[in-house]
This record gives sequence, C-alpha cells and structure tokens, in this order.
Amino acid sequence: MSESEKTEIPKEEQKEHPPFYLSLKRILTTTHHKDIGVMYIVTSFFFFFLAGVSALFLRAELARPGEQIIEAAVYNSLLTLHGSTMIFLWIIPVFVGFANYLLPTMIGAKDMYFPKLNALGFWILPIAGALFWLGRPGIGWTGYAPLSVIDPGIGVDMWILAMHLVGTSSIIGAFNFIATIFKLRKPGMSLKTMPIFVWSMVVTSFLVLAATPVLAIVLSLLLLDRNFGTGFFLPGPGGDPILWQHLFWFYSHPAVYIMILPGMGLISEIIPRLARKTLYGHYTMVLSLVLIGVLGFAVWAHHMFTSGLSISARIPFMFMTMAIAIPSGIKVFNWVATMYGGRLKLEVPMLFAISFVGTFIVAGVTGVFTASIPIDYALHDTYFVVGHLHFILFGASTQAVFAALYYYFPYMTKKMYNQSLAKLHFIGTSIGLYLTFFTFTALGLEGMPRRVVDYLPELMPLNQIATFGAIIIAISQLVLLYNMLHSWLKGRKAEDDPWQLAKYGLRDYD
Amino acid sequence: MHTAKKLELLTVLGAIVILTYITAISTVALYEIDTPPDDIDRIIKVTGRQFFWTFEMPDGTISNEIRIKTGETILFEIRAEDVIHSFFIRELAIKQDAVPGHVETLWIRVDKPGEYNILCAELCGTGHTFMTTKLIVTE
Repeated sequence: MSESEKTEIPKEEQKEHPPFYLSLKRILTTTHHKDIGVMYIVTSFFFFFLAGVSALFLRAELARPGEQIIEAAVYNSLLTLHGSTMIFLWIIPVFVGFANYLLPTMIGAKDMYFPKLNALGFWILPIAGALFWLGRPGIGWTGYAPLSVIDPGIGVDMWILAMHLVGTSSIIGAFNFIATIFKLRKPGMSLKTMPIFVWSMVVTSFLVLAATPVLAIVLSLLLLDRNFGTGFFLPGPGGDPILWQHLFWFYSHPAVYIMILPGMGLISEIIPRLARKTLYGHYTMVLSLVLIGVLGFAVWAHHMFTSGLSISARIPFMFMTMAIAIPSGIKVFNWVATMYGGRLKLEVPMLFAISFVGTFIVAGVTGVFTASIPIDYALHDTYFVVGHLHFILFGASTQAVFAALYYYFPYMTKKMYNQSLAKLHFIGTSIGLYLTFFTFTALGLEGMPRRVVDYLPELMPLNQIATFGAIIIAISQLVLLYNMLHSWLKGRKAEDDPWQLAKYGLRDYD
Repeated sequence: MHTAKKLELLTVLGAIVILTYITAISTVALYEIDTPPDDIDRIIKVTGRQFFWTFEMPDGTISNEIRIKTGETILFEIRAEDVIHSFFIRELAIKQDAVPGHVETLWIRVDKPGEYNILCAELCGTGHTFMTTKLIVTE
C-alpha cells in the first residue's frame, strides 16, 4: 500500500461520515437511517427526563398525607403527562430509534425502504410532545370517557391530536420496517435465519398496523363527542362509556407488546454476544414472539374486569391472559439457557440484560395475580397495578434500552463511556426500582387507589419508602446523563471491536 | 443440549399445569363472588357523582354513609350520574365500577363489626381522591 493511499482512506471516511449532528442543516434534512435512529434515541431520552421530573413531583406530593405542594388539578395533569409521555414519547419511539439504527445493517440493506417517510415519522414526534405539554389535560393517559368528553377547555382536544400524531408516526414507521425487512434483505438471509431483533420488529410492526387504526377511530369518536355533539360515549344520546374502554384497550393492550417485544429482541442480540455463545433456541424464540403477538389481541378485556362485563365474557379473557405467560416463559428459559455455560464477564450491558430477565419475571408474576378476576377485584385500579406496569415498562423495557445503549454506544459514537459510572448507574437503578415498585405493590395490597393526591395517614411509611426509591432512581439517571454526554464529547476513543467478539468467532453488524 | 430441550418442555408443561389450576380456582371463586344469594336482606342503591357517594335505603331515606348489621346480606345497585366512578370498599378488597347508563350489582355480608373505608377507585376529576365515606357495621 502506497503512502498516498494510506492517508487517503481516513480522509475519505471523514468526508463520508462527519457526524451529522454538527450541522443544523443536516439535522433538519438527513434521511439516513443511522442519523434518524440517533435523533429518535436522543429525543426520546429528552422526553424520558421530562416525564421523570413530573414523576418526582408526584412522589414529592405523596411523601406526606394531605395536599402538600401541588393541588389536585395540577396533580391530575402531571400524572396524565407522565403516563402519556413515557409511553408515547419515550418507550415506543426509543425502540423505533434502535430499530432505525440497527435493522437495515442487520439485514444488509443500505437504508430503509422509504427514507423520507422515515424522517417524517421522526419529525412528527416533537410536535406531538408540544401538544401534550401545552394541553395538560387531567384525564389520565387512558382518557376514560365520559370524563374525557365533559372535561372543559381544549386540553383534551390537544391531547387527542397529539395521540393522533404519535399513532401516525407509529404507522409510518411500521410500514417502513415491514417494507424494508421483506424487500431489502440481502441474498441468503431467509426468514429462518433472520436475527431475533429483526423478527421482533416484524411482529411489533404488524401489531402497530393492526391496532393503531383502532386507536385513531376511538380518538376521532371522542373528538366528535366533544366538539360536534355526537354521543358515542354518553348514555343520554344512546351511547355507552364502555365502548371507549373496549376500543381503547383493543389498541392499548397490543401496545403493551409494542413496548416490550423490541426490548426482548435487543436482549436476544446482546446476551449471546456477551456470553460469547450463540442464542439458544432461535426457532422457539421466533415462535414465542409470534404467539405473544397473536395472543396480545385477545386479552384486552382484562383491563375491564370490574367494568361490569358478564362472567362468561370475562372468563375467556382470564384464560388467554394466563396463556400469554407461557411464550413469555419460553423466552426467559432461552435467555437463561444461552447464558448457562457461557463466558460472562459482567460488562455493563450484560448486567442490565440479566436485570432485565429478572425483573421481567417479577413483572410477569405480578401480572398473573391481576389476571385472576377475584384477586383483580381487590387489586384493580390500586397501586398494585401501578407497580406491575412499572416493573414491565421501567424494570423490563427501560432496562432493555439501557442494555442496548451501553452495548451500542461505542458503535454509535465511536467513543467509550466510563465503566465505573455506568456500574454506579446500574446499581442505583436496580436498588431504586425494586424499592419503589415493590412498595407500590405493597401499597396496592393495602388498598391505596391509584391517581390519588392524598391517602389514609397509616399508609405514610410505605409512601415515604416509595418516594425515597424514586429519588434514588432519579439520581442514578443523572449519572447516566452525565456519563453519556461527557463520554460523547470527551470520552476516549472506542476500539473497533469493543466487546472482543472476534476472539470468539462472533461478530456484530457494521 | 438435549437435556436443555427436555428441561424446557418440562418447564412449559409445569407452567401450563400451574396456570390452568389458577384459572380453574379463580373461575369457581368468581361464580361464588358474583352470584348474589337468594336471601337478600336489603337492597341499597348507590349513586356516584362528582365528588360524593349517596346511598338510598329500601325505606327511601338517603344518606352519605352506610350503616348495616353484622351477618346482614346486602345487595348494592350501583349507578353513576356524570362520569365513571368505582365503588371500592377497601377493607373488604372488593370494587365495582359505577358506569353512567348502567346498573351494576355487588353483594356483601360482613361478620366483623367496625368502620370500613369506601373510596373511589376510578379517576373521576379533581375531587377523585376525596370521594370517600364509611361503611359502619354494628352488632
């Protein structure tokens, strides 16, 4: 190799890949999947911190009985914003971000099938975020009618538009992923050998395409009820409030799987590489993903066990809800079997991956309790359910994001983060999450309803433990923020093979 | 690897047995809880409004709390005026949503005298937290 060639190659590389985020014009105009992926992830993290701060206000209010620092109307707005933001602007888009970044490379495509649509899908999100936060309705993220119909002001209308926008963004993304996966796979990659993360995006995208239009319908009906005098959800003109619950949960239960399946996919990529083995049971992993996706459509009424449905309508839903535990269990078994006998070095992504599996088991077991209708009579709409959903969405989904972030950070930024700070983040997150959310389940067993600004004085000690846990979680996330920003700007350069995969005959996507 | 496959199958079968058992006992318990007995002593009409509960006794008196005797079988007829509420008797660990346009039922028989907290378990607006009252059970 001549001298000129040697110097030319890095120059060319630099010309091809100067980081897009250094130029505002490129941020606004880029359609490259990796750039869009990073933009999704960064934006989602912004909303994660915003919604996290609103949670701290809720926990501060609940640190003592009686109205302390915020009044009930503000409290209701904050809990609505916390839920809506965490679900629609954090966990769903952050996975879309990782999928954008990873999926085309995993299947050997140059970019997504529709790059411009992909950029559109991203730019819708900040607008939706602004609508949520300027509207500030106090109806809860589930927006149950008729409360959402009779609520005065335009807050709820802005919430509806924001939900329409995030739904549109999801549908655009899902279309694009399906087109990319089925049209742009490199020759030789069959559906059978496709990586599990790609499979998880196939199932997730079909869930989005099948469920999100129903959300659009129910939101449009609510908009009509509020502004054009129809009565779909009002008993006076002949409507029924229960209709909202059926249609809303027909979307929102599959949406629970939209929020966890990509995380399972990411974990299924990370565990085998850091255990320096191949994934155990590729076929059963795919099968369980598909089964979860299909069963996910047949369990929505388990959110409505106390709504007054007949016994014979509820029992099949209880049965299906129990059944969904089985494919979930298969996945847990396969992850553990992959780690068994592997060469684990407990790097930070692996710590989060193991914690993901453990917390997912806890989350699943608390789910089986609420699936049993007589037990749900006690636990429905109490803090037990709040604990259960946080075990899933924070304990499992968010920890999957952390695992993926720590695993792919050196690939994304070409920089390495501080390992000790990352471990501190892991320890703090683990302690905080179990302290907070186990206390939530205990509060639920004590019969504390959710979405209340005050409680019986005897529940003060448990509430204080939960608030203390929330503070630990918050401090740990500040460690994460500092570590990521500092390492991105000033960190040491990452090696080309940061996880030494080549030594074990494994490789990652580049 | 062969042992792992066997172990996985065993895990799945074990899970099926456990979950089927839970579903079966839950179904039996559900029918017991949801079928009111024939010997109802009193029917109390419960109405949820933003933000208080009212109770209409069989003799037509209206009250803001419930007083019953131990061993008495009570059937609640639960309605809502404006938005969805949820009639939640905390210490009895049971609740039933109050839905506008619907009449839902719930029955109880309390053996232990004392004061029981009635709460609202479904977000119904700014006064949701304070939509509380008492069920007072005397000998």
